[in-house]
Amino acid sequence: MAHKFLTVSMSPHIRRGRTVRGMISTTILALTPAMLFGFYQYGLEAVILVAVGVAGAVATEAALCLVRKQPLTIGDHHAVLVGITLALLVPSGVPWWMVLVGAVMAILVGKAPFGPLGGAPINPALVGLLILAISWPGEIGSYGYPTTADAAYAVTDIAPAEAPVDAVTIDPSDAGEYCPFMLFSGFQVGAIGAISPVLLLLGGLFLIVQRVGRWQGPLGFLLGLGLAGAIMHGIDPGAFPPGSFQLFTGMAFFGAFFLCNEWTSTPVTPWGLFLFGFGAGVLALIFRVTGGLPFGRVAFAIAFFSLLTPLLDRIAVTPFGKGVRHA
Amino acid sequence: MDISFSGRGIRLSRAEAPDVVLGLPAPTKVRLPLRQSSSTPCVAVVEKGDEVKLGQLVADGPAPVHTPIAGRVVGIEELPAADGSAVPVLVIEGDGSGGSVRYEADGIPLKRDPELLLERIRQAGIVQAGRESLPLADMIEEARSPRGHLAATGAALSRPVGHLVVRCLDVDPYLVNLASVTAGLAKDASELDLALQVLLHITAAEQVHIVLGNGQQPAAVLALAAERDWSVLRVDEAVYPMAGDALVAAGASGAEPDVAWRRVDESGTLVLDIDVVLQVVAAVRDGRPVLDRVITVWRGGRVKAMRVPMGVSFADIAKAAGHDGVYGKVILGGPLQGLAHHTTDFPLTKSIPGLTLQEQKEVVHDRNEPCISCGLCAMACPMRLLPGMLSRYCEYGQWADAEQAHLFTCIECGCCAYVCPAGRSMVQLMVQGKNEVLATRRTG
Repeated sequence: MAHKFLTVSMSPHIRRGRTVRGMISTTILALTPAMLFGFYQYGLEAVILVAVGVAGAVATEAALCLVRKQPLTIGDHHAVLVGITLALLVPSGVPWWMVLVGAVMAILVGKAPFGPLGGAPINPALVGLLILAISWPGEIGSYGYPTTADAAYAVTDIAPAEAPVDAVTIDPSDAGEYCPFMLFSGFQVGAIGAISPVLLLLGGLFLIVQRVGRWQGPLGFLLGLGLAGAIMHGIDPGAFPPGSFQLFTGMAFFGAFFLCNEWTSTPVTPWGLFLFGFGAGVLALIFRVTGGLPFGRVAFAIAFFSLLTPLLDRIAVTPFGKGVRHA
Repeated sequence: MDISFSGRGIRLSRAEAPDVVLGLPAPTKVRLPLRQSSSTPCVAVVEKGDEVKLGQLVADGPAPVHTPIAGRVVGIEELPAADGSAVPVLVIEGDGSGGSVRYEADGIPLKRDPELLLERIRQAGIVQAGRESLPLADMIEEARSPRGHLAATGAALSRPVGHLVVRCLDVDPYLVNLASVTAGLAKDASELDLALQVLLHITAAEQVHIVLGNGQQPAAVLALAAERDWSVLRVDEAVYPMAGDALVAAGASGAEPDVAWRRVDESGTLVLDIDVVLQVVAAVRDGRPVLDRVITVWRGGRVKAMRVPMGVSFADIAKAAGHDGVYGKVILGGPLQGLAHHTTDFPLTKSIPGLTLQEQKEVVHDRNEPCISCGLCAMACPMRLLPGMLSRYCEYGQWADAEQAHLFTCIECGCCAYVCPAGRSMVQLMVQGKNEVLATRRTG
């Protein structure tokens, strides 16, 4: 007894018990409703793409760990999250090998070169997605045919007319023809996991309540996109759809709640995070109204702002006692 | 008035203060470390073989040490303190005689020379428990001392203390000693009145503040505060570290003081624990030194408040509290700010506010994974720092960057480490960084 020493360590001696793995798992859980809705709308093809995405990302990470003779890191589920995120952001009509390439590139180019988890400057899933969007700009727009296509449909993201769907294709100059409520509920054509703003909102709020994500990024993004959209609509209602259309279509809600809320690729400071979201939202709208990109405008905007994260992190709150002194 | 600030800190349920303060039978042997505060160690004034009476001065220094039992000095041994350094310890064996010194209760009128009153406080060896653990007399001196640039002139300037803050609520939510002592004043707060008269006389403080938790309603204290025109500051008991020095000082003075390594700097605000304040009465009125204190003993969610003589070993205290002897970790203080000691075979000192006894399975092991920049620490930091960034600066040896990012504003409360999903040793890194910055300064 006398020779047995007790544990000694620096305070604090208790923990909340939260883990990175737990936070990632919570994020996956928050994505599940939107994912299941995507499965329902796009059927087996969507399930296969998500499975390929997850398998590709996990296998790549595991292989890299083995090659580099490092401890296996797939246990933190991050590769799973990357695979899911990537697959949910592509339309169900793309070939499976494309998702596989995206998943492999996400880990190989987006994550692994930057060391352990927490080093990647851009969300690896976005890196994979943008590589696909640049390499196969035509094929990446292969929208699948949703199960409930007889409902009033809109092709999202002001989709190109060649989108292979029988659904209604919204002409931006004909904004009266779509119903914001239908878009918000998820009755639209788009990427597998991005079509249902309402379910993404629920998942996002769940993350915020669980303190896995924060509200400043999503709010900033939706405000930036919505306000900029409303301003453009105000300038020329004939050429630009209203702000609600911009918010409820494409990857807007997915980007707001699951990309502007990722940890490593977004600022830590509250104002930094808000400005990150707001700036990315405005930039996404600029890409939408001016760009020649057929796909992934939101993704490009957020990836661009991720590179500004170190800069935005300098917008810190004044620490305690460092404000103006009234001596 | 409430002390609150932008929802930072962490939510932690607070231990219920027990109704009774348990006593301990008089020990047959005590061991009295010569260092019982963070100030310079004391020097023994007795030798091996000397007979000592209860209450006799045995070591002199900034916070003198007195023996809580009568008996004989059987030796001076060295024991390793919690910080790893060896500390000389007087070992005194009781003879059961109960012989006690006659205290110099010369009936000092409370309105006598403030310097004499301060000397009485110094002689009584009063120390505010906690990681700072400064002698009360030193704290008063410092709070009313001239600012640095005036001190350089050598002029004996004495600056009045602006705010005298009495904390009735433990900072660490697992501790209940201050709450227990405060509950003991529910019916009769005359001692608090007396103590504050003395302290006001010494410090010439402009305003007294009583810091209470939302749930604390000590009727006599509240009545007294109303009568004396003291302000009552309420803190949210469920949020840690709302009762911390810097935060209550900010609440009292209305301006955030500068913080330098856990110390509230030059704010003219003196934050004192209620137990220390009450010890002033015995010191000044009766000439009685500090021989025991009310501490918290926490184990497995069961909390006891106990009045324990100085020099009793942790193991004996735990036994008296009804706990067996198998532990994984013994923490001197609460789990958020206390230091861990590697053995239960060390005696209680004046700087220890309580004992938290953890079983092996309760012991936390930091995983120290890389920071993922989730920002949870920034949301929890009561000092509005970016702990994640600071921890990386300290991890990678970027001391200058860390200092630039206000490393020394960190009060080491541990909120960041508590919430960190990557299990990083945040406080460890901060303390290391501070030491490195100081070492760099010394060597130029």
